[in-house]
Amino acid sequence: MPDRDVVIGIDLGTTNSVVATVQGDQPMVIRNRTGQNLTPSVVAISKNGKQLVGHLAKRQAITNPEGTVYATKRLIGRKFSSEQVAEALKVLSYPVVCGEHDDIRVRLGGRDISLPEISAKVLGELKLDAEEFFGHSVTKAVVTVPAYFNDGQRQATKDAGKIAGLDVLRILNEPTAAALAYGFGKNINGRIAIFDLGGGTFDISVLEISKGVFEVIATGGDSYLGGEDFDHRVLEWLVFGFAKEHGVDLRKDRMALQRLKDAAEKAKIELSETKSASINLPFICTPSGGGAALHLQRSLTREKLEELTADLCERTLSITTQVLEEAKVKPSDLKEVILVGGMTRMPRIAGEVKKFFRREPCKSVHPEEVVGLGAAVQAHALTSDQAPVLLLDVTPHSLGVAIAGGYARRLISKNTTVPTSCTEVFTTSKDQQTTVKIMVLQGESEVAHENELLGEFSLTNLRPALRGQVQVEVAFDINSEGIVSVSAKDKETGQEASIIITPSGGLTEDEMQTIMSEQDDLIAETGESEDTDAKKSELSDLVGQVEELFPRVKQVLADSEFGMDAVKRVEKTLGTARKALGAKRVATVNHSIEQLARTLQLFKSLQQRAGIEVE
Amino acid sequence: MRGCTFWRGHSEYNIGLMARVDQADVEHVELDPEKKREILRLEEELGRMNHFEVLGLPPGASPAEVKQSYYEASLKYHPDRFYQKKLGSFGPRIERIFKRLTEANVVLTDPKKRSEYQRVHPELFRVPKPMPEPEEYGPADPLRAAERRKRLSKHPYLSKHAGIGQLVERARKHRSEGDYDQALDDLKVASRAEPDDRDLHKLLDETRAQQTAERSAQEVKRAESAEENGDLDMAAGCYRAAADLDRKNASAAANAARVLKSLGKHLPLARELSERAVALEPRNVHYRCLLGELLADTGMRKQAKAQFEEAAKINPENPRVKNGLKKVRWLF
Repeated sequence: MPDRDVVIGIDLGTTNSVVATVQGDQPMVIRNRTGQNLTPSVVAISKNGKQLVGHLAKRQAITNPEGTVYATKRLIGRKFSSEQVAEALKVLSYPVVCGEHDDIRVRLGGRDISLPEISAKVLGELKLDAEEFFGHSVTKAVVTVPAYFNDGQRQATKDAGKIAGLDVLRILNEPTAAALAYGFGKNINGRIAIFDLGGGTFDISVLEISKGVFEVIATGGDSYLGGEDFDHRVLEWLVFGFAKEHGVDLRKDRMALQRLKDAAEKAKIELSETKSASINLPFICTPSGGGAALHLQRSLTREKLEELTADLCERTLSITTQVLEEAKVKPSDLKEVILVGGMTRMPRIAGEVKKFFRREPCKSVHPEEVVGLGAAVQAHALTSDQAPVLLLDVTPHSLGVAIAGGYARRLISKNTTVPTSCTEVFTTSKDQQTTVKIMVLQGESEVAHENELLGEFSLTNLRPALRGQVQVEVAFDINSEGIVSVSAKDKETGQEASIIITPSGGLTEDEMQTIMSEQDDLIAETGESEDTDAKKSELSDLVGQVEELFPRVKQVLADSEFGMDAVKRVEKTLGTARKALGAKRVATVNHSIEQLARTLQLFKSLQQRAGIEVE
Repeated sequence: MRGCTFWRGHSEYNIGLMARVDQADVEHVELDPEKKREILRLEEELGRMNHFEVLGLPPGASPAEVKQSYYEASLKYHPDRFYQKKLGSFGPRIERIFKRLTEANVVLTDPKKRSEYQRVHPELFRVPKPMPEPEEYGPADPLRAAERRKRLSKHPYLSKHAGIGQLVERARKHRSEGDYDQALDDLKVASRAEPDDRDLHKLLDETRAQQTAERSAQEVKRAESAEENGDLDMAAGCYRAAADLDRKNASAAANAARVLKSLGKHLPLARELSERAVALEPRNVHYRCLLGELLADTGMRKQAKAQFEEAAKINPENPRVKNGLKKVRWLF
């Protein structure tokens, strides 16, 4: 199979991630190497300097709180100085520092690591799972993000893909992905709503489906409302209760905090099935003044949980009301309501949604896998001819320019189908004004500074005249790749100035380059040099084995369907491995070992098959 | 096969259309020659087509029909349908086509935008719908056209060639008697059976033109008698209908604008109608003055001034022109 046909879809979630593909016209989840469909979005550096991702990382989180990074999706692409980040930092058990340009870095294994790099490790893990599944390299992927992510957050996710060695074909909105997976292969016509309450974000989208065309009618949400917030409420309840009883603030102890977080999540999940859950955390702390260790023992009822999180639930509904109003859609116009995200398993949420839409939500989709499956559907649609589905996506935020008086003038309003373009004529606001500054804004506020400034440029040398007499035509364009460009033209002289908006995910171009060239440096830095020699001998051993088998396998390969392509790839792998033998970095060596081990396995199975054929 | 793009920079789009099409035609891209031609043709026509035509729909099509057509067209022209293909200059072309489709869809399905569009282009929403042009079925859908021809040829009245001859004869007779409606009916049936007959088409077009002129004249008559009787609302409506039926009738447009102005109603519409009159007869001082007055009334003083100045160039002594100029000058 040529590589260009293999594409994957990845749901990079706040708590869990999923990788999927389309095989035989059916989307399917690719299981990870531990045999599960969901991979926790957790990255850790263990005490002995090993990098762990997924289940292995999550499992050791309690004993290694400072070396375990989770829920970075809530921070990615944000500014360190922003309110939400300050709020989030209060309950994180791992250390976070401010990067050079107000971006967020995680201090891990003695290094400050950017968030795209952390996400890249999760993506890299999923990539490996997919490669294991296909038996060869996979590079093309569609990655999902919450619909309400801004350009910076999207770019940061794209950067993460790039660092992980993925060619990100498209960044897709999660609820849209869910709709694609829901409607794929079914003959559905009509409007549907996707209610997506995940680990970190809440999204609501309305789509119209007709003969394979999926048109996004409206989308909205809150990128800071999700399961983590529910956990946090339970955690606070535990902490305050404990403080009242023993006068100790457990949040000051990172290990205790991690245990509490874990217990809170477990209790919340349990309460989806039962009426009450007991939380037992023995030896949660030892008082500083000496004395016996303290234990935490409480029982949480479903009612209490609902009471603690009532306002969160209320917020999802008020956002939903607003989005439906914008879309001019009544709940009765909808054909189906689809619940997505682990949080929708909470009976209260499902109940409120049912009450709001006055109908039973659709149960035919798996809330935690559907987004990944949808990403695979879109990846498949983009890369195959005459795909059965087409997505008409929209821009999730309004775009405009700052005008006199500190106001924002909207040119492209949110929920506009992309690609799109728009022009509007502005005039000078002062007498003898010879320069206009075009400030490109993203957001819904009428006040300029409450929106996000995407970029700015000036049009100079205007004819000096009375105000209102010089006309400047401003043109906005969003192309099919989602790239925004803005130009301004003096209508009289035809003089022009323009800008192409390049969103920043927190990393500069140079930083990206550096990261790309020294990937996986993490382990090398943690001082395993004595280990390197052992690894190298393992590698040279492998090289020997592969070289020995290669001539024989070559003959088999030449006859098989892989043809010379596979042979070339093996040659390349061998070349890199020989180079790696001379390299200093363990990461490089390890990488080659992994590659060669896979090659060797392939050889053995090929030999076996060939052997059987001969007999 | 690959790598041979002659030009791809956006800056080059400004060169003449003909050169553009020729170059694009030989450009190596991953598209069928047929698809390439289709894209070039469509892109060239985009500017001339109204929102219904863009979506391949008859005037006045319902929002639901619009949506369906838009989805079908999207399956053909959404940039994602060409993802990862080498497109060269065709990439931006396809994007322009899709944006235009989206624009038409948005205007015709959003109630507010649709009624605004209807206000500006009432002729596209006239009910009963204007007669569908036979051309619409012709080259656009050869399969359907062939099928229709076959069916018509089996029709008892048309089974022989003589049948068509008779129809045309009858049509001519109706026409000479001034019964254009009957004549048109016969001619349309005949032309569908004989879509390649040029003379027949010519006759059809002439008759259609006569019919509109006739209808327009009738509307003008009704308008005049209504105005005499002091029913200005009725008069305005009839003048407007006349102007919309025969879009070359400058006097009907100007009269509609004049009556609307005296009523003080629908001034932006009146302005548009008088703009049309001026565009049709730029040397008519009265039309210019009317437009100028209407522009001034709707707060566009600068443009009003320009109109009066134009009028002054034609006849500086006209009292209405002088008066108008004084008025706008005074305002400044």
